[in-house]
Amino acid sequence: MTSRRDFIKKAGLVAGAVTIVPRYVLGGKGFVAPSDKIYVAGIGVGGKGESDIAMFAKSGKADISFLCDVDDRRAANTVKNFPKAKYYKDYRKMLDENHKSIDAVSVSTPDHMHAIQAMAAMELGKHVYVQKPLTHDIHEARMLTEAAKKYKVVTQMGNQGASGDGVRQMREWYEAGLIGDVHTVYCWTNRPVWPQGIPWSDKKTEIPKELDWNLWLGTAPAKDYVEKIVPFNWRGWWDYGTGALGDMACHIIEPPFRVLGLGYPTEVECSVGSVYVDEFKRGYFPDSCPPSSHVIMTYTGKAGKPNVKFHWMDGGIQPERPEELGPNEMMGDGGNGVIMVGTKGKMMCSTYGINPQLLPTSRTKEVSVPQTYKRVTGGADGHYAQWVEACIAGYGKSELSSSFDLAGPLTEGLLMGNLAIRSYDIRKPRAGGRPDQFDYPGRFIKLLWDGPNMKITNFDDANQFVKREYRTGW
Amino acid sequence: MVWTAYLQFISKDYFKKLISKPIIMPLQKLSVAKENDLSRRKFIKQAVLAGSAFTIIPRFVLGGNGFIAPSDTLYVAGIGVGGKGTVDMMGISKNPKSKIAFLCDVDDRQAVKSKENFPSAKYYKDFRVMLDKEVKNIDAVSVSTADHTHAVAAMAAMQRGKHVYVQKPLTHDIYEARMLTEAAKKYKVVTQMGNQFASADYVRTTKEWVDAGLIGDVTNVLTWSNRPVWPQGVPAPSGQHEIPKELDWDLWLGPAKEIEYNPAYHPFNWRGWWSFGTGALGDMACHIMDPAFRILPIDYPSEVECSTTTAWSDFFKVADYKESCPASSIIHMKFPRTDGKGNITLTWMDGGLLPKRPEELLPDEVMGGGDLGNGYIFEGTKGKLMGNYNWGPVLLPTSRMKEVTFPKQSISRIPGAEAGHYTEWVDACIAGYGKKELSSPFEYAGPFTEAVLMGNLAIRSYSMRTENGFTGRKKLLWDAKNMKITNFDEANAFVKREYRTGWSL
Repeated sequence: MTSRRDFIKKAGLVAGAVTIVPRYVLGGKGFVAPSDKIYVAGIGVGGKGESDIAMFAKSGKADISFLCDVDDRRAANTVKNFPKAKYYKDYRKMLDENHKSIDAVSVSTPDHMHAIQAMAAMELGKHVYVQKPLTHDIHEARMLTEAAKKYKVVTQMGNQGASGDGVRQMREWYEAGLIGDVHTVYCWTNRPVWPQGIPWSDKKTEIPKELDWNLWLGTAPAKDYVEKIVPFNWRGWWDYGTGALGDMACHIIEPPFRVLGLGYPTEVECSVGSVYVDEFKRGYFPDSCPPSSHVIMTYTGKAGKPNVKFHWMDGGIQPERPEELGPNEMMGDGGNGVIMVGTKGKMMCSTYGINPQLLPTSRTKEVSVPQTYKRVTGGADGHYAQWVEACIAGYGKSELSSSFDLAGPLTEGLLMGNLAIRSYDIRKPRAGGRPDQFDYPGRFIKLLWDGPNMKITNFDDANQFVKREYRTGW
Repeated sequence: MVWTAYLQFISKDYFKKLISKPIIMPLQKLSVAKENDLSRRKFIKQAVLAGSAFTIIPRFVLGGNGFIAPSDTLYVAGIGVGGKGTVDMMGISKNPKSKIAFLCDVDDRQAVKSKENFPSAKYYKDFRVMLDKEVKNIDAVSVSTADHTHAVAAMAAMQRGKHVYVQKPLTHDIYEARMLTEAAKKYKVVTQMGNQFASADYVRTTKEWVDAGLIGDVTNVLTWSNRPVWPQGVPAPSGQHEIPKELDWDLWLGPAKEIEYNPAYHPFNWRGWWSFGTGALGDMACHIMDPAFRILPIDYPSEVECSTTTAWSDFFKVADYKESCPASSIIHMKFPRTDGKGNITLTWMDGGLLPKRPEELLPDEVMGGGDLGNGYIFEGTKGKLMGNYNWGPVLLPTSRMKEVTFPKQSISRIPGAEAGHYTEWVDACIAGYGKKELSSPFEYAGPFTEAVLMGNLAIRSYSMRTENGFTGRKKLLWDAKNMKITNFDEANAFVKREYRTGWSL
């Protein structure tokens, strides 16, 4: 550490001005870094971004050097916490002007910006930490996953529970054969915890002076600014957010993904809680994510294991209680949870893989399985430091809990749920019907997914949701 | 109105395309006037001549044990004769042995059509007044009011020895269903619940297939409905509205608690408010769960659990719309088999939610057999079948339809199928209590309705907020005999509701 500081100090003396020399200049194949610090730039530093940045800093090995946010109000706290960090509004400008001074980039923007920002950083050889869900659409997830390999950068998705002890405990139980082969998985969340299935606001209002609305929109279609869309409400609108699945699935489906080693789904079906605006009058709000949904995906079993039926439920609806659960026992954490059903038993946990339990719950205390998976120091909180350390160690040198080769397919899985939900809502004027009559050809059927080619093979209209069009200029 | 409006909603042509047979049966062919009609007419004519004033002499005066009626005309009074009530009056009148003699509605506007259809029928606004005054002139009563008034109206009729036809769901709460079921026996009256598809062919076909063992022993049933097709999970209406002069709001409220008039409740949308309606289950479960109840050895559930779509009033703020039924719900029930051989589980989903597609169903095959959004699936030890009340059934995979040998028809069909549901009841009333089989008498419809309402009990328990949070969100254990939830006492508030002062069962 001293040598690094010395080096910088010398460099500063030489050049007559302090220039940040990032790790990647010093690093390289086989090169042992003279320091153990990385220079981090944060894109989107309010809200979750604020806590992300704080956690990197807390690792003691990350220098928060640059901050970027399209909304000064959102950035205020972080700017105050890191007064030395240079602040930008446009991440493109920040990366252009400072790419030589940045080792790694953290992306905590709304979902519709994750991919383009992460990709810009990766193309410059920067390690990236990207908030969940990794991307807004399936194509983007596939591209980022490939880019991580191509550019040999250290990657981590921000589903911190992936570093928790719970998922490792469940892997150990599963691999010890305690529940046999899993054939059915139930995941559920109480999200959305905000209204969905609603019309877009017509309350146009003046754009706050601190917000660059055009930059906020980024890749999304041009739209007038409306009240309350920032900082939080974007989650429930397809142009920007990814609904309940985007908010919580990365935290909830992580344990079954990791335990079962799932890849791409082969089939998906769904139904959603309908919205009626009047007697016999269905609300049609295709911009808004639905109030509740039930998605079922099929994953091919790994190495001779049975196929896995993967249920996702959100908006308050929940799977049937397992027989083994007592009538008064809590399922999951009440609002969220996971149940894996195997040929010889069941296990259950809450969000982030916490509180893993075998069913009946009394069984949890009866079993003793040796620990085979190393725990991440600090558990879920160690997710940040793990990435920082891995960046310092260099690509391929240390294991990460949610590197893109893991996080990419997982994200594709949850986005497949969204693809099904949006396909369910495709409506077409009924042939020969009245103007207010529609058919919904994506309903009551099952969509077949060609994972390698990213294509729904039996309902072409669904493929519009694999890859969206970016706004001109992005 | 529900039915006709729904037909409009999905378009008649489209609807016809989806079903294998036309739903409108040629009713006039079903019941041919018999000689007896003539003798009755003659009798009345003579009576009129004798009394010098037209007095209706109802069947029950003439009838009695072993007494062969000189006529076979059934004098029917309709309570709630708008909307579905209009359809019911017409359905009953299609049997020439019936005479729609009295009409009753708390809203003159709702009664207009029925009055036009039956100009000679005497019209009342208060069913209590009608039953008291005309007790001697009525043989049978049809009840098509809002759900919250079914039981009190039906009971009042039964207590006076009248046969009753009651729209589905039989009652608003579980206790009422139990009471009506007992009353049917006690008063020896002919009863029928208005789940007309109980008289349809499909359910008899389904029974023949199940009985023939085509799918082995049924262990699990999935049912679903696209209802509600009106807003639920919404705040109670507010604002002052003038009560239409044609409407007696106090009578409309009947046993329900005092609440200000609002057009959001009447004439149709009472369905979505717990004070009056029974939500999606009340609207459709009596149709969609009928095959399960009719065919499988089940009566009362032992366990029930549910979850519902959460309504949010704002960010992070769960709405507390306790008056409104939920936008969508999932119910799971467990029924001990009446033969003691284990349990049968049943799932209900509404509000757009669907159960998992059976593996046997091909990707492009429509679940439920039409995109009507309603259906049932029986899962057996040797196979599955799928249908809904106007389509199917089919065996799954559907390729099995070409492979298996189907059993010969062993259960007689109701003439006119679902439309014959009314005729069947009229004929049974004329034949007298215990003389003729019915598709949905209270001894069947009562326990069935209790199970449907058990879903609502679970929903309302699930939404219940106490100082310790949502304490009803667990599996509820039901002691059917004593009508009691044994592990969450607060749920028992939904077994029997309190009537407004002045109303009783």
